[in-house]
Amino acid sequence: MRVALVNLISTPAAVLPRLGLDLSIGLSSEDPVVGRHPSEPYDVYLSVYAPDGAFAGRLELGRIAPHRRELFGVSALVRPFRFDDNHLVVVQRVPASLADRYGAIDTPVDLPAGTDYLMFRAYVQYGYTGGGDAHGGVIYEIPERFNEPVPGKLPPAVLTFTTKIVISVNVDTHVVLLNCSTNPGHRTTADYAFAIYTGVGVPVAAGRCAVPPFGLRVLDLRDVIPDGAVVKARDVHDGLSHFCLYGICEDATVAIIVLNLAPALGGLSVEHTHPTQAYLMAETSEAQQRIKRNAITAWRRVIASVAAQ
Amino acid sequence: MSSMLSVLRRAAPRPVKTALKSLMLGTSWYRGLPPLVGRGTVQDLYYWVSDGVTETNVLLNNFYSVFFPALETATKGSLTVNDPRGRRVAATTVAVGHLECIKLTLSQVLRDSVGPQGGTPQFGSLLISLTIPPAVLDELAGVEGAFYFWHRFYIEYVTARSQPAFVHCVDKALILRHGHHRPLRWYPRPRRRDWAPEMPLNIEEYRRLYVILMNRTSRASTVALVVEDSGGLSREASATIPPNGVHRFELNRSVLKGLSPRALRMRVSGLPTTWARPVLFKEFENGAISVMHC
Repeated sequence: MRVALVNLISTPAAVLPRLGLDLSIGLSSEDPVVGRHPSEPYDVYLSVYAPDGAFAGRLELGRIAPHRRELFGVSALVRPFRFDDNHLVVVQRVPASLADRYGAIDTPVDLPAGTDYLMFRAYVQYGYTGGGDAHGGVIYEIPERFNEPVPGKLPPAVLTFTTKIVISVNVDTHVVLLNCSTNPGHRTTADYAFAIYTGVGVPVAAGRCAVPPFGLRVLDLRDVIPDGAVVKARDVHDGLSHFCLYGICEDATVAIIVLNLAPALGGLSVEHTHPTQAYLMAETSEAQQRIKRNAITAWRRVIASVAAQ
Repeated sequence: MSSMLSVLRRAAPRPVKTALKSLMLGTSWYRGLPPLVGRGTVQDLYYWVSDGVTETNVLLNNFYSVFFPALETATKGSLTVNDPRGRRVAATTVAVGHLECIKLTLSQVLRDSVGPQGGTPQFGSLLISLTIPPAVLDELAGVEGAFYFWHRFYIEYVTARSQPAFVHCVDKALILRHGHHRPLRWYPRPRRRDWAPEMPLNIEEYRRLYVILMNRTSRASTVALVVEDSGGLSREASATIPPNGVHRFELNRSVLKGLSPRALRMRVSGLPTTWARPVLFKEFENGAISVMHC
């Protein structure tokens, strides 16, 4: 496996001052699966991108000792950059043994076949800035090659769907779209198109969003979904209106995080979405990819049709 | 064997990779199961709670519509509710139209199935199944080899003040083969895996934290949770979980008294199945909740 060590274990995350949220990231120096890698020190880096996607710098956050967990207050760490707007960071971990053996962390090196850091993920936590004792977190990672063109393969593309769209008097849902890559030369703007449906399968909204490379965009679903649709979908028992989001992007793989914010109730929930191919268990990846690509093509037409209504 | 195949598959050239994937999906010796042949679905087990403080909603989304938006994908969905011992206490079946998402609230499902009398459990496990629509089966006729849909639903938990929190599935429990009525276990026997959650734990942040584990196999399995501080002091608890059962380890300041509360790490041993990592159900002093897998 040929990979730059800085990309071996990495997680992109959104810094979201516009939503009044503080971001913290928790990391471990242990193999979560237990047994593949003995615990060892890990060097931690934080790559910081400006709101327009320009690389702003990389912070060295130090070394996590073996058998430890560390929580890094990312919003505080990036404050010196003075970004008022939402922006992307990528937290990276490099095993000290590999750093010692190979030296440079940005130059691709040949790791032995079977070197497996699968499931090494970062804990991404949000809390309300300056108040509230509740927080919400989710754990995820990206593969060591993400949004990188592979010769002979179609460009990355994504089909999204989620049932986590909830709106009420006290609850707002924000969908965060992250366009990042393990390739520093990534220059693709992700054109994300989406439609919103009610629980009874009726479309109520559609839209598009351009996400710059190494940038992010936040969809505020209260702005997207008409008030009348929210009222009509309201459950009289809990006051919640539920919707489904279906989205496509044919230029790049967009990582998606859903935030259900209820500041008046002091709570928030954070979840990612599964890649849709994970729903399809086919004997060949060709069959899996064909169904996904056909679905993306079909949704392109459906979303255009909803947008035209 | 499975990890060896996984390593080989990752390292292999593309044609070999495809062949190994086919082998992993289709052979009995890989998982000690009959081969996955034909068409079918794979379900996971989810945690539910309905205790008067926290409610659970199952959002039964017709995901077949997502993959085949131009087909008529109306189908039938079913929900089976188990108590913490894994015993079935309720079940319901609903029609799910094309692009529909049916909300099933656990307290209502329990009332409809069990009645309003006392004695109903307050938490447990649940299984969701969506039958493959006929038009989708027709569409798959041209697909060579086995093809299964892994049901990957998100479960919604809601506080009494209507603050929602979501969590997703992580593993596999049952295989439903199209044309067969009897489900098969994905994991016939417990595997006794260990897991080291990456999340740093500061118990002072929580009123209560449940570390929730489920058993997706057909045999009882004993699991243990160790919480250790940076000085090496620890607390340990264990539980035996029946098939389809749930156990909640409750962590709070009192349970972890004597440990340095702000720099804790967890470790789980005896996970019955490969990816059955815990659900962390977080309850805060202000009544808010959040949920995650770790």
